[in-house]
Amino acid sequence: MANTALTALLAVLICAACGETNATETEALNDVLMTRPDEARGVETTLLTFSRGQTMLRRVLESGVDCPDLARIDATWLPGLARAGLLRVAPDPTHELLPEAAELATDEGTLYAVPQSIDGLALVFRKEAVSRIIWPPRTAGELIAGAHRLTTDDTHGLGVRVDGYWFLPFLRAYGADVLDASTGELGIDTPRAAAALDRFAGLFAPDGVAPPPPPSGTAAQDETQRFRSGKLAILINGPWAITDLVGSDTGAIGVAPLPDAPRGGQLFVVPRCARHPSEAWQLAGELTAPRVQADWADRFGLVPTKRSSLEAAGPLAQSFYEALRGARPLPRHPASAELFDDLNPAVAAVVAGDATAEEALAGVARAWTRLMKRYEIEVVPYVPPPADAGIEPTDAGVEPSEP
Amino acid sequence: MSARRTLTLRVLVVLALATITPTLIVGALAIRRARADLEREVVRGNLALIRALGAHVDGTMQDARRALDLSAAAWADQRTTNAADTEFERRTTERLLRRLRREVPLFATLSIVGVDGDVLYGDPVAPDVGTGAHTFGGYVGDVVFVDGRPRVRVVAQARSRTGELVGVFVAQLDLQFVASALGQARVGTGARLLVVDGDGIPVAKSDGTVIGATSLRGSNPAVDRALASATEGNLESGGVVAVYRNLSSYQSLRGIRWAIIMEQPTSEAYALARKTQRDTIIAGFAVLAVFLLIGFVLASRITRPLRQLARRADAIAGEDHSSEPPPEAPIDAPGEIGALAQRFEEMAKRIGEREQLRAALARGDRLASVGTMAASVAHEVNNPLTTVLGYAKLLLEGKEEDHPDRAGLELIAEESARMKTIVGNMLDYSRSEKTPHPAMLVSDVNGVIEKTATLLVPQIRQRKIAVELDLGKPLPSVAADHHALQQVFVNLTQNAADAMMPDGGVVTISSRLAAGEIAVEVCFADDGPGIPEADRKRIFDPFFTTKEAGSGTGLGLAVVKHLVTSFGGTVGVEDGPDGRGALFRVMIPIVE
Repeated sequence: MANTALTALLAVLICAACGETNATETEALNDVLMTRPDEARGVETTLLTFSRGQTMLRRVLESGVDCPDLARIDATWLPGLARAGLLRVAPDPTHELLPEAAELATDEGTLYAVPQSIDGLALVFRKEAVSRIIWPPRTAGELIAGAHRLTTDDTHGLGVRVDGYWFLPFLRAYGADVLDASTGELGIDTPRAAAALDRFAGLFAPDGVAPPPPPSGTAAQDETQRFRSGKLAILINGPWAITDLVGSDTGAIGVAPLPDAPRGGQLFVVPRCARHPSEAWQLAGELTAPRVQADWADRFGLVPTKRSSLEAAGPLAQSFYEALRGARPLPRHPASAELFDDLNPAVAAVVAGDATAEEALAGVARAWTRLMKRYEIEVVPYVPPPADAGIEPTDAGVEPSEP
Repeated sequence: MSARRTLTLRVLVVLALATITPTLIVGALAIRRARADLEREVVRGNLALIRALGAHVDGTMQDARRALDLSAAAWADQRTTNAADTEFERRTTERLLRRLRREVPLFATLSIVGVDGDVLYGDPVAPDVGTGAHTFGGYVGDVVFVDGRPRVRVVAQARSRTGELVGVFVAQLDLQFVASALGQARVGTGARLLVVDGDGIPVAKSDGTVIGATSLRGSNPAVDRALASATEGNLESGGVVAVYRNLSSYQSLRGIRWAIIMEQPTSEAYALARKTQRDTIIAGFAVLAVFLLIGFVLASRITRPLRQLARRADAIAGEDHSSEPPPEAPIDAPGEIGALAQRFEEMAKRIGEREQLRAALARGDRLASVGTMAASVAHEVNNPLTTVLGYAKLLLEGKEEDHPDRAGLELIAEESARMKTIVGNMLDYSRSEKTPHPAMLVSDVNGVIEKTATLLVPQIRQRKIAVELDLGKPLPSVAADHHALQQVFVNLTQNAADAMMPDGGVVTISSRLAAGEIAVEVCFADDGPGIPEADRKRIFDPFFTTKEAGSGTGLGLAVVKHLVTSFGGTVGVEDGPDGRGALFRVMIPIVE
């Protein structure tokens, strides 16, 4: 997800997609395009950064100027674009899609996309390191407890990014969640969420289990270096990073489910303004052909969306798929794609010690309330339980065992 | 001439094939490479220029954005801290905006928009900015023209220390400074600089004011290439060379970065390269011409000995080898040709010698036959002559002076005596041929000379001829037979006397030890008419005489030559002292 990008077909027929930092994926895309017949070439590709992709794409699709014929988008963008009438319905849904992939490509019962890959967060670990702990962990508490046991003076037990997406499993572990547009519950303004954020920030404390946050923009490089050098036993990350993390050390690395992990993916969609929709769907099919998906799974860690592709893919991609099967997608609502705009700074502020969890999450709640207002959803304010109820906050399944 | 042409041309052709042709090929490649390098350097230089300009523009833009970001963060903190005191917030915010405008003159407009989209402070904000919506990425949007001046919007989120969004700073940057930077840049002749946004719309250019928002996409290949590129590059199209580079500070809504482009007519951009190429070609051909001339001269010098050899061969083929060939300057050449010339000279010399030897042998055979026959005839004639002479003298005895037979008898006796002399000379020559190597020594050359003079003076005095002696002393012994040496001296003295007839004169006989002290030199000089140059070569040939018929046998000097040669010496003739008369010089080796 971190490397997801938006691509636009600007000139003639089709477009393709690549991560903004993954040059080899771009080359692989070009290789596929070069295998097309001469009359089907002439694909002009534009790469957009993930952070600005949704805003930019939406503006382009709304204006119709330089409209792409095909776009690769993050799965969380789909509801917003589809409900705004900016996407075409996929013409021929395939029954070969894995259910998790079909779920990503569908909004309100309509299939709008050809899913390219499934992603989300899982545990990437060194096999020899986890032999001393309970593995795989069934809860966040077991995970943190195990990470404590693996943490030494020069080794950290768990690698985590200071990011709202990485905070999500811990939030869920405390019984909270991000907003549910169907109910109007924000989910973030509760004592459980504050406790979860405190606990999350504690991972980075001097007595915590995670390495200190690296400078902005260097997180991927830092965690890869630590993991490959053996100074990080377990890492929370997505399939997009697996190639860099594993290197040639395939046999020593494993993938396990992360409790309460989020799941997402990448989709090929055809905008309503596309001038060559049929050719665009055809190219989407070529880019998700079993042979291509299996190849890209091995080369870039993209988890296939078709059963035959998955069977042809390597063991790491299959492990990731298995790990992500139990993960939960974000709520299928247009607002879901925008949640992290405000959650990320809040998480960073708490981890940095600039704010308490309550302060930061209160700000997030205000931002999300405004967000809900834009979608004309009435927010249900959180009402604390009676003081004698004694159930807030819970630490069930979270508090670590004594190391 | 044909040989010269052939040889010289061949050498020139070899030189051309061996050196000039590869030189021309390599030179052409080098010139082409040099021109390509120079053109590449032009492109590099232009790229360096737009990099520097781009860095300047980027830096200015980024400074403005950083200032906006920092101000937004400071405002957010202050707003969060003093949320209750609205008046204080208003004052501090307005002060902040004033300071920001002062420190960053690029800000044409400056506004603070609240999280609900309302303008809280500063200038009005155009609705299409989209502030107050959800995500503010801090990006720079598309260019807009306000009063003909290009502007671009910058957005900075104002988040409090808790990460909460409390507002948005929106500014419009006046990009006139870009046009100023482009206008002040020192570019080559005919070059122009251009900055376009992601739609290809000119933001600024170095050669005038941007008027209107007309995109150059589709009409300017450099703009198309620049907008399709992620970094930088160059393009040559339609007689224009262009370099382009993305500007990192700018990014359009569609993610396409702005670009800075420099265009220059190819004729101007590559003028130096073309001039260098032209000058190099001219200089190359000049050097080539000089070297061809030098090559021609060298070829001529190389082939000159060969031409000389050819001429010499022609001369050898056509000349008479029986006589000494005319002297010719030796062929001087280095190396193999010199060795060949030397061998050729030796071969020619040997051919000449062989031919001369063959002629000499032929002549010798004839002379030997004639000599043998003459000796036989002389021997056979000598006895009857003796008888005739004896009877003539016997008949003369007792005859009175006035006896009528006396005159006839005296004529018979006189002619018989002369015939006897002739026969005697022939016998002498014949004997000299048969005794070429006398073994006896003569220890007193001067004595032989004096004796010769004593014998001849009475005879030649009647012919009004005097003999003067100039004898050097002492002289060493010489390897010569006494009688043979005397005959040599007698013959040369008589020959000198004959040359002065009928007027008479002085025969001077001198002797001395020759230079080098290996021979005795004896000279016979007369006051006669001398010997013409044409006769000097043949004067020692047998039977050659310049005297009137019947007055000489032509054997005297031949006997001298033969005898002196048999001594191991030499005899030659030259002009006499002061150019008068003749001088015969006899060199006789001394005995060690």
